[in-house]
Amino acid sequence: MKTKINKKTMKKYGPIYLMALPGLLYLFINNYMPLPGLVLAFKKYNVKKGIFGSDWAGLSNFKYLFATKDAFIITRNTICYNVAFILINVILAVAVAIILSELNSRLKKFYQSAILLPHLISAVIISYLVFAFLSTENGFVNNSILKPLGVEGISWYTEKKYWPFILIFVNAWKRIGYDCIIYLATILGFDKGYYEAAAIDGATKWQQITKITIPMLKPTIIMMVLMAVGRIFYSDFGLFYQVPQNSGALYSVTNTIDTYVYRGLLELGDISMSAAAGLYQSVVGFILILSANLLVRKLDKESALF
Amino acid sequence: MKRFHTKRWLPLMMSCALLAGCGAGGGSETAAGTNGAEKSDSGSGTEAGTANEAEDAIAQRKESGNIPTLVVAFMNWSGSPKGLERVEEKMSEYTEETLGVRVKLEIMDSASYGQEMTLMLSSGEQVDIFNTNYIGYTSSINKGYCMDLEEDNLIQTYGSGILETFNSDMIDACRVDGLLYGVPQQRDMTVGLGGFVIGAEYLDGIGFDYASMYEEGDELIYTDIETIEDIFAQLHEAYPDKYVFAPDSPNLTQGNFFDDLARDNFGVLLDPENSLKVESLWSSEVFRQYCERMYKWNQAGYISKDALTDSTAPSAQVKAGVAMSYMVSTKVGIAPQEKGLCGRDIVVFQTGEDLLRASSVAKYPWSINSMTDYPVESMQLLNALYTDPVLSNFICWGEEGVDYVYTDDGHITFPEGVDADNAEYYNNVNWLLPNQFIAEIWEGNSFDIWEKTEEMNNSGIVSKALGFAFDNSAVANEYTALTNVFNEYAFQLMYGFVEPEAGIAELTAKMNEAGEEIYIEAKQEALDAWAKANGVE
Amino acid sequence: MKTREDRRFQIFGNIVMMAAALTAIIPMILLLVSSLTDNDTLIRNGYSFFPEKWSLSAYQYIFQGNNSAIHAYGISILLTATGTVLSLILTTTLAYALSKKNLPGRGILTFLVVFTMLFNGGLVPTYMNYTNTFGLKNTFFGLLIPNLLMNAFNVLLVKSYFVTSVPEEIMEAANMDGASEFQMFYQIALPLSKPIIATVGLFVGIAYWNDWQNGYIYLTRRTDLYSIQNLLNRMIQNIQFLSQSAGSSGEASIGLSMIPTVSVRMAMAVVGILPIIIIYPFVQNSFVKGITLGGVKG
Repeated sequence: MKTKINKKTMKKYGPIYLMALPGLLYLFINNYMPLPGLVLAFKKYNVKKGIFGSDWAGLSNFKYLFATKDAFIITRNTICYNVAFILINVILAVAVAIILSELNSRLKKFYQSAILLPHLISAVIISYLVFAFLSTENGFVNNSILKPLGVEGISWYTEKKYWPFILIFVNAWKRIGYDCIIYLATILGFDKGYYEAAAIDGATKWQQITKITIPMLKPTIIMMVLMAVGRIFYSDFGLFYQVPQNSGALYSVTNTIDTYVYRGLLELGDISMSAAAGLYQSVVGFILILSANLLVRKLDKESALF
Repeated sequence: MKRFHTKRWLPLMMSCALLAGCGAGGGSETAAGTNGAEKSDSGSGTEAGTANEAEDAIAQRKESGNIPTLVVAFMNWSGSPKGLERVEEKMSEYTEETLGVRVKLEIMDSASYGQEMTLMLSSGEQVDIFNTNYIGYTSSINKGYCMDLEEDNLIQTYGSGILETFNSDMIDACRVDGLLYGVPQQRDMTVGLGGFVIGAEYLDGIGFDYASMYEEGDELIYTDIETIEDIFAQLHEAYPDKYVFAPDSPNLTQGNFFDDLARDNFGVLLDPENSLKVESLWSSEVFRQYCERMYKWNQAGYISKDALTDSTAPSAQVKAGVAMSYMVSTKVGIAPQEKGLCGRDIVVFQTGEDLLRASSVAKYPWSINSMTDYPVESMQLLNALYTDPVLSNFICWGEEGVDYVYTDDGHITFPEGVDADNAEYYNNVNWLLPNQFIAEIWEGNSFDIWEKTEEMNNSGIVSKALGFAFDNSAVANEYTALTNVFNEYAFQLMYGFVEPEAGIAELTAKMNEAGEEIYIEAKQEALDAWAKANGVE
Repeated sequence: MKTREDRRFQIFGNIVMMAAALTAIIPMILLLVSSLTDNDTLIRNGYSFFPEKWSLSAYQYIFQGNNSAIHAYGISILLTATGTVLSLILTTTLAYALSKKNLPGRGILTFLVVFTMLFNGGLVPTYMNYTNTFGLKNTFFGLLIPNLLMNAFNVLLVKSYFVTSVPEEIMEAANMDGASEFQMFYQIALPLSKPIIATVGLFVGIAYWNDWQNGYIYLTRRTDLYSIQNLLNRMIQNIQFLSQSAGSSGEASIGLSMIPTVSVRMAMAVVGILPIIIIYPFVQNSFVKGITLGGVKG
């Protein structure tokens, strides 16, 4: 460390470092010790030679991620969906958190528990539920909504135009209850004095929300967005693979980097190629989060992550 | 029709030689050829000597008290069974006595097996003997997981029983670049193409007289696709609220005559009996006909509109009374098996030939880990798994009295109060285990099931490329792209949801874009090299 | 002092939230009903709120068969409780240190924490690390430690809460009074941060409760250590895997038919979320307490 550590600072900060130690130790074991394994992405792995002794493969393990026309589609899908998810989820989660924080209703607890439920079931079960609604023969949408209206049933799993909306909806349905907890907890920590003062000055509820709550939530929102940006090259495998039932007709709107890699490597089982995919996602995320953080730092130093 | 039938009756001694445990190569009158017989003869010549060496090794271990524990890994459907440690202990007691080793079984469910084995093998954990199913035989070799079994004559010295169990061409089928990295298991290798399972009550319902169609001693009916189509039309009329046919993803290979070299559909042999020309399946006549038929069936309303997205097993659909039939590849014992799955009486029809595909022998061989500390011990254990009925019973069925009991007629079955759901050791993967032929026979199967299976293995059409394995690591990029294209476009065609002409054109175009030509070229090159090295023309 | 505007807001808020809650709950009811539906009916008629034939057999299968769901429940509860407590200790102490504005090396430490959100060595090296170096395979620790024990995201959440909601004046005053750093952390910072601690505790608890990956990777022989999610996921993974393994012949179909039925899977899902539904209201109470304490500080 560059700072000269003298006795006085040691006495002052020693206990703090000590408190940080267990957590840092865990990160070291869990995240930093396996890190040299990233070199696998550049190797043609052979167990007899070990990770470090295997032959170098240059960038050939990355080639399959870029070589075909699919590369554009999967990259586009991954980014576009993530951008949509970030925007929609932030707006909805903040709105729900604010409404919940302002409600006096006895039902408040019920609302909050109810919207958290979807987060608790696995993607496969969600895919069954979606199928229950969208199945061509027995689905509720076709049978109970469209049929009575005299509209012919839609073959949902082969019509790709609906899927961007379905996926965004399912994702929001699954995530909002969870995401809003963070915002809600933050709002509950706000000093009530501001609101009381504002109320005395005759501020309307709407003004209180826009002038007090949202500005005070800003650091949290920025943090959440920044972290989501860092994961913009990742996709929720369950959402894109299971929920569309792996239907081939929908690939052009459901195939993402993760599902592409999964399908391609399922039978190949190549650990070098999957390491390459992981590294590619990490590096892009890293660059994005660094630049986004830099931007935030310029605009508002307090809100920056680091 | 008659053709298949007579072939089945070719008298073959192989199976009884095997059951009696005597020398190998006995009656290989088929394509096995003289070359195979020669090799096994020389094998039995040195048998006395090698047997001594093997016995010495066992005696030495037992004397020194230095008994290693060997790890044997394979997959099943439901993960590590509850009675694992008990069975391991019983097995180990026995192998300690007979082989001077103890045994630990790593049994994992099918979904995690590939990944878990990749982790275990690549991280150097102890695994001595493993099955390559879902890890991939060639990719295992490629990554250095598999030991060369002939190094220092390992298999000749300590595994002669394995070599005697099979025709030498079965063993040779597991060679990659001339080296033997694994050995096959005893199971049905030749498959009957175009098998259809249809619920008997529905056939009764349309008054179809299937009873008279069985030829003596057969469990299934040989017929043609037109008859099936005719039945389907009647079924649809009689039972309009049920689906006639439940398609499934393996139907492409189950129903059609071609050789999917190396178990992928990118570059196949369309005339595997006569030609080694690797061609694209998608532009072929057989694929077009198949798609057209499925399209016709789909248009006629035989197939559920949700077929593409429904993961319910076809037999479960028949069981639930939703669908009336589905496709299988037939084998000996198919009828009782499917009857069990469907929970009702069924009739099995076969419309195609019996075919032995290039990759069917070396589909999922057993290998010894290249990193093992106990190559000799592992080979001896593997050898015993192929030759010792007691050991084979342990690994196939578990412990007598707890996991199975004998019936009065000498079959085995569950003990009182045990069923498939609560059994403590019931893997249902005996086709994967080294030698189910020497284990006991489960109730409901005929006693001659394995003799008949041997017959079938030796009687069908044999692919010229039998034994060819393809290492696709050099074209892995193309492979991943092709797999994605296959998933995206092929299933809609194969389930008849897309008009064949336009659909096939699109699929072919996408396949080309994804580099199928490059992939086929690589396959052809490898096949030519293989053919040259093995003297196949 | 209820104004008309306030009343309008309350009505509007209730309508919106009721709609949201119903959207979430209706599919859950479907989940429950289909777990109680006869399996053949399910295959034949699809999912329905009013099935033709009801059946308890899925629950019988789970609780009577060889699947030892009750045992797995015990593992899940033990795992979630231990994991959440340990995780909260690690997370809050580290976050507290990082919240100290003048701490030398704070920027570097924060960066080291954020870095772990983006890069990891990948599955194989992580597995080798835990299996070969630490010997976690086939032990309870294999469920507890890898990946879940602490994550950077939660550390940052708590850290930013400490920064914004624990007033420096109070800390300084305590410091003047001779309180040790640990006392300040335990007696001032933590009580003032109840909402975020409840939040993070909830997140961690849910993550442990829902996790199946650690069991999938680190338990091969000790299936007696399977959590409820491991049981569920073993079925589900196999179904997905087997219906994917195109090209391989009939074996996959046999495997598929060996796997428990749709209604069993649904019942497993119900069994899996039940405890969280029961526990959640208690966690919510911490939020309420957080408000009252937060009120004092102003």
